[in-house]
Order: sequence, then structure tokens, then C-alpha cells
Amino acid sequence: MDNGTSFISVRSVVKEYRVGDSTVRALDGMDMEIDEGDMVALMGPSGAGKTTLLNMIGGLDSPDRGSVIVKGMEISSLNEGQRALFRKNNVGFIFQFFNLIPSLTALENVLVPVMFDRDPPFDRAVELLERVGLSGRMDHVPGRLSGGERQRVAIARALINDPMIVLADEPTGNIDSVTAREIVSLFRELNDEGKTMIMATHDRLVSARARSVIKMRDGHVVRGKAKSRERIVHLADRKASGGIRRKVEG
Amino acid sequence: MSRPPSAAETSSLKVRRGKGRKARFSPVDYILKDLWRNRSRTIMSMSSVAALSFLFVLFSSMDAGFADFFSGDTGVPSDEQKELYKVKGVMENWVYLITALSLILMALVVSNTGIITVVERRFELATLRALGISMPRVIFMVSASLAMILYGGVLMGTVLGLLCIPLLDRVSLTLFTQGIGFPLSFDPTLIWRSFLVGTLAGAIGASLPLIFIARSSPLEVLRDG
Amino acid sequence: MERRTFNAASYSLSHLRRDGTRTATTIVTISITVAFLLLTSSLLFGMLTDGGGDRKAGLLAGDIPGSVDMFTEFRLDQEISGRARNSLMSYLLLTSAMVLMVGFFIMYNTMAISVMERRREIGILRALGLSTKEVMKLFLLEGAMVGFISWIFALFFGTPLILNLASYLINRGSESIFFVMPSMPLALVIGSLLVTMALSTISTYIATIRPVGSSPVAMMRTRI
Repeated sequence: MDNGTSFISVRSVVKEYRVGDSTVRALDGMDMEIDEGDMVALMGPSGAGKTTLLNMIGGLDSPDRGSVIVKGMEISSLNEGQRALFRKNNVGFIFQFFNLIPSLTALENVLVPVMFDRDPPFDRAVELLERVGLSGRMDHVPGRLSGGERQRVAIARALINDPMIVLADEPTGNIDSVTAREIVSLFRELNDEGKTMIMATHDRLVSARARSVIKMRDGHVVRGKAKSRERIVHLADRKASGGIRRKVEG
Repeated sequence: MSRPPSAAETSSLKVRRGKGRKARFSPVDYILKDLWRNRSRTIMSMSSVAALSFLFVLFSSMDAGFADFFSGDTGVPSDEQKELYKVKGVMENWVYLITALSLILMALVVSNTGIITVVERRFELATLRALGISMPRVIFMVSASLAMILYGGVLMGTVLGLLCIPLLDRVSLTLFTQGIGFPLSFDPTLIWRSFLVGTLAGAIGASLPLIFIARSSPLEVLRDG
Repeated sequence: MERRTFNAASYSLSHLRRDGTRTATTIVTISITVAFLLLTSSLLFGMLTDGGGDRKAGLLAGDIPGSVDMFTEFRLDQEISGRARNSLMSYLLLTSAMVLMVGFFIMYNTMAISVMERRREIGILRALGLSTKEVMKLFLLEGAMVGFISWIFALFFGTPLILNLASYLINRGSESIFFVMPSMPLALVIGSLLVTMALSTISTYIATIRPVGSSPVAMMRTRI
């Protein structure tokens, strides 16, 4: 599939930040291709550029040099408004610190990305919350939810627009290992439905269940190893069901 | 495995929604919830704006009262009339002074409230932008919540002022000046004038925090905190 | 200049200096508020004190010899201008009270902003072993410093404005009717200092009490 039309391709991307008087090179000629339906774990020490890379793919950040192409669209050349639209329609973000809105209930938090739409998909938000196992806590505000529950709300929120790509930055960084395991299983399930998952993580638990692991250091790829290449992506199935599958309970 | 939700399920959802969950969620709900969460600050900002609006209404009705007091007077010689107009000029100067004062203080209140919003909710606003809500819309949301506080306050102050004018006319004058002063009178143009002052103050006060948002990068906020 | 000691005051001072923009904004905001307080109360003082010792005889300005001597021609005018003064005076009292209230809110808000930006710092200080009281003392000291500097600015930049510009604006075109000269007696100067210090300390206290009281861990990680 290396004919230049990969689902996500990052080409010789350079990104520098100013920190005080010095400049830090977060990405240093990064090259990477990610196939549709892959589940990638980005590993590497702090400061390796994992988060910067996620932000580039998600259209939050733009490179100083090089290009980021997603679905044949060069997002590095989009303007701020276009990038907001790109994020809304194609990308679901999951943050380490959840970033939920404290005044809103779980259900309302899930609806935040679509609140400006004419007809927000209310039923879909309910279904997503049921699917992540929060059917009984939809009317709770984040302050009354545990860390794991908050992260599930964040996952439901990331899925509200049925994005092709889900980006997770240290998704298990702030939760206990039992909950982390459940969340990784949920990620795996989403991946089985055809979503491309990219996770920046330190957690072995996460990388062990990813399909491919990319190791980064100092802003470039050290080793990209595909763990399993068989594609169990049921794209046709996914489209038929509108991207939603209910979790079978019990 | 996968199936669209059955009719029974959707109907059960509807039933549950009927029991108190709203079927819609709009930016207005978001703004109202935020104002409610910070209700002590909302009330304080609103009552400050209200107090300033009240002052404006008070001094304007004093001016109007002065004008009314002499409008029926026909037997005054023209020389005296001239002097009276000078006194009226003084009253107008006072109205201008108080208007300027309430305008500046109102702008300060609005910009303070706006800056607090922007500082305290910077993660929230950055998250909204990361989730794909465009910057103009985020600015719209912040300015809408500021506008609610501002116009809520102006409305409160104006209504309170108009209600209190007859009362003040009796009580405060007799307390302080042994009942000798000018009657206050209601001037209908006051209502739109006080909203005009509020709008002007809002425009001045909100500009700083809104520029703040427009220039902030969600990325830096999410990274550095 | 080498500092040999490091105490609460030097901590606050170095913070104020390092975070210059925020300090400047805070001081400007509070100065404007204090200047308005000075304006309303000096006008009130001016109205109360002109006319000399006969003030007590009656508040009707026309009755006071010497105070409005330009009104000898028309009896009606004396009465009218007296009434105008009385109205203005009573409402000025109300205005001063309201400006005081709004000023307090503005100060509280301004202090709350600077405390809010430093929640992380409060968490760190608490984690390092400072007690709630000590952290509180630090912030109160800083609030008092800001209040004092703002008062100085208000006094030195505001007073000439009040005494000249405001009195010009008010008395514009009407010198022969009645004249309100804002006055700034020592009592007002000292009183405004006390009021400013009290307001800034109280507002800092209210703004700080909750962040300082809550858990340092939560303070260092405030994202929900």
C-alpha cells in the first residue's frame, strides 16, 4: 500500500517549539505511514514527540516543514476554520486528563462537539454512553464520576461524530490498571469496527494489544514494527450498521 | 451482532427522556449551565452592572424631573428663565458625569468577568476547539454569556430604578435634605438610553478578553496548562 | 542589589515584579476604581464643606450667606439652586455607596484572577509544607501591597484629574448659578487609604480562602 496513498501519511515533518530562549525540536524529519483500520501504539520516552505527532494528525497543530496527509487531504495546508471542521468530522480526541466540561452532565458532555448542529444526535449519545457502560450515570456531572468513568465519557464524546480516526494521548495515564484493561478492550472493539486508532502511551498494557507499535525517540521513528498484518476490518459491516454496535451485555 | 436500535428501544429512550432529560442540547444550554455553575460570580457581576445602571437611571430622572418642574411654569420672567436653563445645564453636566462613570466602571466589570472566564475556563475553551468547534463559535459563546450578564444587569438596574424612583423621591430626600429637592420623573427614553450605555460598555469591556481568546492557541493551553 | 533574606515580603515582591503585566493590569484596574471612589466622595465633601461654618444652619444653600452670593437678584433662583444642590447631594451619597459596592466587586474579581492563575503555585506551596495560614498570609500581604500601590496611583494621578477636569465638566457654562468645587481634605485622603486597604485585603481573603483550603493534589492537577 506504499504507493503514496496511505490513509495517513506523515512526510518529513519538522516541528520546533520555543521554550524560553531555546528552541526544542519536537519532530525531526518524521516519516510515517498508517493504514486504514490499524491500531497503532506510539511508544517512547517523554519529549519524543508523541503528543506533537498526534496533534499534527488531528489537525490541532501544523508542521513547520513537511506535510501531513489524511485521507488524501493535506491537513497541514488547511486554515484554522477548515481544520476545526476536519477535527469535528474525522477525528475523535481522547485526552490524558479527560478534559470534560465540569458543569455539564455526562450526556451533555458527549453532545458538546455537535451542540451547534441543527439536530444534535441525542439518541446516538445515549447509545454511546450505554455502550461504554455508563447507562446509569448519564445525568452525573464529571465531579461525581471516577477516573475510569470520566475516561469512558471522553471516549463516547470522541465517537459522537463517528470519526474515522481516534487519537488517544496517554489514555490510561490517570486510571487504575483494571479500568485501563477495560478501556483497551473497548479500543480494540472500536478498531475491529474499522476505526483507525492511534495511541500515544507509556503503558505496556496498551502496546501489548495494539496491532502495530511505533517507537519514537527525539522526534523520529526508531523502530516501526507491525505486530499483526491481517486486517480484520469489516468496513462494509461497519457502514451498514452506521458505525454503531451495541455492546452485548452480560 | 450489530443492529439498528429497535422500535421498542427508541420508544423506551423517549420515555426516559420524558422523565426529565431534555431532548435537545444547544449552546444556549451550555452557556446557562456555565452561568449557573458560577452563580455567585454571575450574581455579583450582574448586580454590579445593575447598580451602575441604577445610578444612570437615577441621575437621568433627576434631570427629567428638573425639566418637568419648570415645563408648566409660564409666569416666570425671561431673565429668570435664562438662569433656570443654566441650572438645568448643571444638572445635565451631572448626568454626563455619572453616565461616563457608570460606563467606565461597567466596562471594567465586563472585562473583569470576561478575563476571569477566559482564564478559568481556558482548558475548557481549548478542549472545545480541539473537539472541532471553530474559534468564531467559541468567541460567540463567551460573548453570549457576557451579554447575558450585561443585559441581565442593565435590565435589573433599569427596572429597579424605575420602580424605586417614586420611593426615592419621598424617602431619601426627606432623610437627607428635609424634604427639599427636586421631584424625580420618569422619562421613557431612559430605557433605551440605559441599554445603549450598557451596549457601549459591553463592547469596550468585552474586547480585551475576546482578543485574548482569538489569539490563544488551544495547543499551548492543552500542553502547558 | 543583593538580598540577604528571603521572607514572605520578598516572595510577594519578586512575584509582583516577575509577573509585571498582570500586576500592572491589576493596579490600573484598582486605581481607576479607587479614583472613582475619590471622585464621588470629594464632590460630596465639596458640597458639604463649602459655605463655611454656617453649613449646620440649614442645608438650603440659598439660606447661607456668602455661599451663593450671586443669587441676590432672584429669590426663585436661590430656591431652585438650593433644591438642585440638595438633590445632588443626597443622590451623591447614594452614588458613593454604590461605587463602593461595585469597587469592592471589581477588586474582588481582579484579586480572584491573580489567585486563579496561581492555583498550581498554591498547591506546590502547600505540598512543600506551608500551612494554610502561611499561604494565606502570603497572599494577603500581596493583596495589601497591590492595594497600597493602587491607592498611591489613584491619589497622584487621580486627584489632579478630579480637582480640575471633573470640576470643569460639572461647572461648565454655569459659573454664575452654583459652583461645586470638589475638595480633598486630609480626612478623605487617609480615609480612602484605609478603605482601599480594607477592601483589597478582604477581597483577597475571599478570593483565596477556597483555593488555599482545598487539597494540594487537586490544586496541582486542576483539569477535570
